[in-house]
Formats: sequence, C-alpha cells, structure tokens
Amino acid sequence: MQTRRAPEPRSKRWRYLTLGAAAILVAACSSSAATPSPSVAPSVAASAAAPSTAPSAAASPSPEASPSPAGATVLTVFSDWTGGDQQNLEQIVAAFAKESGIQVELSGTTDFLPVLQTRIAAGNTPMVAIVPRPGVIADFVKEGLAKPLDSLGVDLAGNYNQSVTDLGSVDGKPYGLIVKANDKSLVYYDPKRVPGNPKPATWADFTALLDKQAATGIKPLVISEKDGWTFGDWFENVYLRTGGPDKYQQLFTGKLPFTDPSVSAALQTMLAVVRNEKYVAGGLQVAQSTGYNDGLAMLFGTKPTADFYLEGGFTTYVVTSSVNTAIKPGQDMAFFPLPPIDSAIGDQTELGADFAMAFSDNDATKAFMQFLAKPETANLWGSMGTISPNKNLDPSKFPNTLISQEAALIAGASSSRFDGTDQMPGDLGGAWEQTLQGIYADPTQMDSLLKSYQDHASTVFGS
Amino acid sequence: MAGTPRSRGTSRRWRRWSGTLFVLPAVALLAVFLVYPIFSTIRLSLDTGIFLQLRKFVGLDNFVNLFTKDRLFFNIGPTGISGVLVNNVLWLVLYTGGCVGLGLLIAALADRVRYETAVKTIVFVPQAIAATAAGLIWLLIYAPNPDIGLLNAGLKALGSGPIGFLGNASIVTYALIVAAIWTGTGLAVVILSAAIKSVPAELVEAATIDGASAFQAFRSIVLPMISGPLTVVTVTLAIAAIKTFDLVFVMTRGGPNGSSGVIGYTYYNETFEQGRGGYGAAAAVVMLIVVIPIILLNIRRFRASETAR
Repeated sequence: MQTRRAPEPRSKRWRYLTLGAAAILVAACSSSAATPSPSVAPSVAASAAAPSTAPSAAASPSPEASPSPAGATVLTVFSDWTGGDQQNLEQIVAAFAKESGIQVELSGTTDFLPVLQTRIAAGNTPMVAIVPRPGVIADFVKEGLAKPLDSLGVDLAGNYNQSVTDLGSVDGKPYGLIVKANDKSLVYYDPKRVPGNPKPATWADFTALLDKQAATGIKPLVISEKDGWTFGDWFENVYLRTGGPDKYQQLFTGKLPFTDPSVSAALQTMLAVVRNEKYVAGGLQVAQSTGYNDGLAMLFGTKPTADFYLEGGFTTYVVTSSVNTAIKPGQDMAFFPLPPIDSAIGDQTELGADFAMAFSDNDATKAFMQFLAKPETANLWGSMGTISPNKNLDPSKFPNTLISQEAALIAGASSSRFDGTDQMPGDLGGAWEQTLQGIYADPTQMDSLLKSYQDHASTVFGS
Repeated sequence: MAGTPRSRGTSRRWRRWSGTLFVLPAVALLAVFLVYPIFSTIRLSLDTGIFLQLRKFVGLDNFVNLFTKDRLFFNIGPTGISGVLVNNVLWLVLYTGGCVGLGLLIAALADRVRYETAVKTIVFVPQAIAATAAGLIWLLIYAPNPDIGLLNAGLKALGSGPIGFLGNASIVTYALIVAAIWTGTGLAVVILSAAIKSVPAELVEAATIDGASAFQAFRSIVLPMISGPLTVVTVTLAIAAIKTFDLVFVMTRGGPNGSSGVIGYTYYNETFEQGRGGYGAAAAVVMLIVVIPIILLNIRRFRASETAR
C-alpha cells in the first residue's frame, strides 16, 4: 500500500544538486565550440576614431568636433558573414572610419536573406549589404531597391576588368561590387597523406588517384551533402565540365530545362564517383548526414580518416580558423584544380564571390563604396587572406601560398563561370540542392525529381 | 438609501461600465497583437506578398499550389503520401503520444519510489535547456562519425556500420521526434505527477482493500480522477506538435530533400528565405485551421468544468 510522505531534507538536497547540474549543462551547451548552426553576430559599432589633434592646437579640443563629411549620418553595413570573414570586414570598416570620420554600424549573419528581407520590410534597410548571390542582387534591382554603382562615383574601369564588373551587373548596369572572390573548383588534400604533389590532368587521372588511395584500405573522398550547397557545387563543377560553359549558363538562368539529357548525363558521371561505395568516406549514410565543417574535420581534424574534399578557396580559412588551428596551409593542406572531364570542353573554373551592393545613395554610402573599390582596400583585404578581383592588387600581400595559388588560378583561368545556384532568383538554388539530395538518396527517382524541380523552376523563371 | 430604485440603477449601470472598462485594456492588447495579425496573415495569404507587402491579389492560388503543386508540402506519389503535412501528423501522434505516455508512466512509477525527486528532476532538466541547445546536443548524439556521435559510437561497439540518422529521408522525422520527446516529457511528468498526488490516498487504499491490484486501482481510480490535467497536457503538447519549428530549423533545416519539413518551417522558409510572403502566410493559415479544432475541444472542456462547479 502506498502512503504519502512528508518531504524529506534529502529530497531538497537532491533538488539543489540536480539544479546545479542542469545549470552546468546549460552553460556547457551554450559554450559548445562546434556549432554547426548559424549564429547572429552582435552588432559591432566601429565608431570613428577621433581625428588626432595637431600638437600646436589650442588646449582642450573637443573630441566630438570631428569633421564628418556626411554630417551626422551613421553608415549601416550588413554582411552575410560571421566569424573570421566578419572580423576582417570589421578591420576594413575601421580603416574606412579612420579615413573618412564616418561612423559605421556593422552587423552580419550567415542567414542573411531572412534578416535582410525582414529589415527591408520593416523600413530598416541597411545602406550597404554584402551578399553572396547575384540572383539576390537581381531580385533587389527588380524591386527598385538597389542603387547602380556608376551613380555612386565608384571607379570601376580603373580597378576591375569588364568581366568582373559583368558578374555583378543586372541588364548591363553594374550593381554588385565583388569584395571577395573564390575558386570553387579546388580539391583539397593533406600532402602528408597524399604525397607527390598530385595534379591530375584528366578525369581518368583523378579517378586513378582515388583508386590508388582506396587501395591503401581507406575510403578517400569526403562527401558532406547534409549541407546541400556543397553538393550543389559538385554538380555545378561536373556540369560545367560535361555540358560546357554555355549550356551551364543557360541552365541556371532558366533558358535550358533541367530535364535536358545533358543534366542526367552529368549526374550519372558525378554519381559514379560521389556515390561510389569504394570512394565515399564512411559510406553513403555518413555522406548524407555530414555537413561542411564536419566533412572537413574528416580530412583536417586531429584524427583524419579520408583524403580529398572538393570546395571553394574559403576552405583554407575555415580549416585554419575553426576546424583545426594547428593546420599550416601549404604544409598540412594543399589543393589541385578539379581536372576537365570532356577534353573538347577543357579546363573550367567555377567562381564564387561576395558582392557589396548599395541600397542608398547618400554621401556616406558613396564614400564607402568608393573606398571598397580602392587598390589600398584590396591590399588590406589581401593581407588577411581575402582575394579581391581588383586588377591593381599587390599579390605579395597574401598571407600564405594557398591564397596566392588560388588568386593565380582565378586570374589565369581560361574559362570561368559563376556559381550556378547563386545566380538563380529567390531560393530556387536551395530547392535545386534539395533535389540533388533526393537524387543522391535514390538515383532511380532521378527523372521524376528533375521533372518536378523543373515544374517549380519554370513558374519562378516565368514570373 | 441603498434600497431606492435610483441608486440601484446607477450601481447597475456603473457595474456594467466598470466591467467594460476593466476588460478594455485586455481587449485592446488582444486586438493589436492577436486579432489584427491573424486577419493580416489571412489577407497576405491571398496575395503574392513579396517583401511581406500586399502586391498582387491572387485569390486562393497559394492554397491550391500548396496542396497540388508543392511536392514537399503534400505529395501523393507511387510510394504513398508524403510531405510536410504527413510529417506534422507524425509529430502530432508520436510526439504527443510519446510525451504523454512516457510522462504518465514516469509520474506513476516515480510516485512509488523513494528517489522520486531525483527522477523527476532528471526528466525535467531538458525543459530548462533552450531548444537551440537541445538541437545541438542531439546533433552531436546523432552525428555519423563514431568519434563524435553517441549512438553511432554504440553501434560501432556492437560491430555495426554508422547510421545517418539525420541524412536518411525515411528516419529523419522519427529522429527529430525522439529528440523532441526528450525535451517535452518533463512538462508532462511534472503536471501529471502533481495531479496523481492530488488523488486522495484513501480512495486508492479503499480500492486496494476491496481487492483491486495496483494496476486496476490506477486505471479505475487514479486515471479518471486526473483526466482534467491529462487533457490539458495533451492539448498543450498537441498544439506544440503542430507548430513545431525550432528543432527542425537547428538540426536539419527541413532536409534532406525537404523530407523533415513541418508547417512551421515551410512558413519560415517561404516567407523569409524565398521571399514569398503570401505563400508562407498560406502555410500559416493551414496551421491555424489545423489548430482550431484542438482549441475548440479545449474550450468545450473548460466550459464543461465551469458549469460543473
């Protein structure tokens, strides 16, 4: 029989103990370093440094009496960055504030689109935004929100090749200024695990290299398609090399349907490698549930288990800053460009970039956009490992050999195309990456998935 | 004086006015923060709603597209029906059922042991953890790398290959629901445990003397007497299941291939990622329609217990 007991002191002690444990748990979770989820960086006000007063100046100069050319305007800058990239931008902004005396309010989040759209809808539009997708810039231009760069007095011709300006142009008018460019066709490896400076010249050489590493008893290729964009980049790289740059451009701008036979042919070529049980590190289940950072940890973590990873040049920075700080670029980490697949189409490079765009044409915005296009700014950025496509850039500023090599590859590319999904309007690119995940899970569904994606894409492109 | 008709009239009138006066602030707040947003969302769902603004009236197009053209929302395929709506039904049944079932079991069993507080505290701790943190914890538990993931480390010790819990379309929703049950059971335990304690011990004692087994006494005496709190817990958790979002956002972002999406995530993704405010609002209206019957049920129960008093 059951009786009710009076609360004992023992149970009270328990309560405190467990409460304490809970508090520790919560604290431990919030300080967890390996956060795969996006985080919002707090707004950092890079307030303008007070202009240094000349020693001969009269006593007690007011620090508030700074000669601000734009009056009391505070420049608002929003970026799609967090972490290291955002810290670099803080330095750029600080240099701008020092030079111009304009106060800057900087914020950033990798979830840039939701935040940016909400801010615009709420009438709190930032004056300058840094975004990674030309497709998004085109959407803003369509809404009449973006200001063209030529109306802001930016010296484009003096600092950029026309092909670079074109990447940020909508209907022939320049809107996006590239502040950071990346080669997205790089296969990363650890020279200690894969010796002999491999540089496969053909697709057969590449698969032979995979076979050679697989023969040592490991599964060499890391696929991390839980983050759909990494898988999207795989497809773009393969399609660029099998369909060619012209079809590539047509496909991602709505002029060629995804049901075209060239798409399924490219997918077959790609799946033969990325879905090959012999190659895929950990097997298909692991590939499907591993994200970008965890995937890199399989190569460059403290206990590496695999050898190759295809991604953009920003990987150098991500690995050395957040995956494993002990990694030395060039020594523990190297890359080769993904080789051509079809010799008739030849060498191809996929590019990615972040663009600065203006929502305002006030003086502070003009001054900042002009500042971003300067060679000195490009050099400052270069010294932090960010590659600017400014043609007056001094390449000796780059901090390590991998960045120099990447910059040389971008500059010397015989044929390059911009990241396809990033060119698409809205989140059509995200939907494509989801479709690719579906095809990876079950290739027999390829045709129906391609058809249903195309139905969706044609409604978006059609409108 | 108090008995004159005149003063009775004033006081009655005053009472009527004062009532209105006291209710007014609450009504104003509800109107601004609840009624207006509901109608504005309904209006938005009939528009393209680009940038959350009314741009172009499209009638019921958004709803028609949700149910007939959106493969990820609702799809009748060769392998059966799938999509966000199906996932939400799974959440409704498994999450609510799991939390209430486990909660009832733990509350009833803990009531019979000496270390009850310890058990209840352990089960309740996840309630004190932010959903984002809970999502991160479970991301690590499910991680495919046996050096990181607890479950795959166990599978490896048993000699089995890793399972990609969050990368496999056929198990991802179940994996998310398990994580959610871990966070939600505490609430059920605390409320049901308090309810069980309010059942007079004499009743159970009397039943036991009459020869009822512990289970019979629980089923025929305790359970009917806690039916009120039980319904409250069930309804609360059912509504939470329908509007679930945080774990999905943190752990899978609706992936892979949209297979773990829920209505709340569709709303967020369409409105803020894709910029289609009208389409997102349509998903939100669908959610509202699904929740209404549950709320009505709750109100009816509430009324019934009011009149019973």
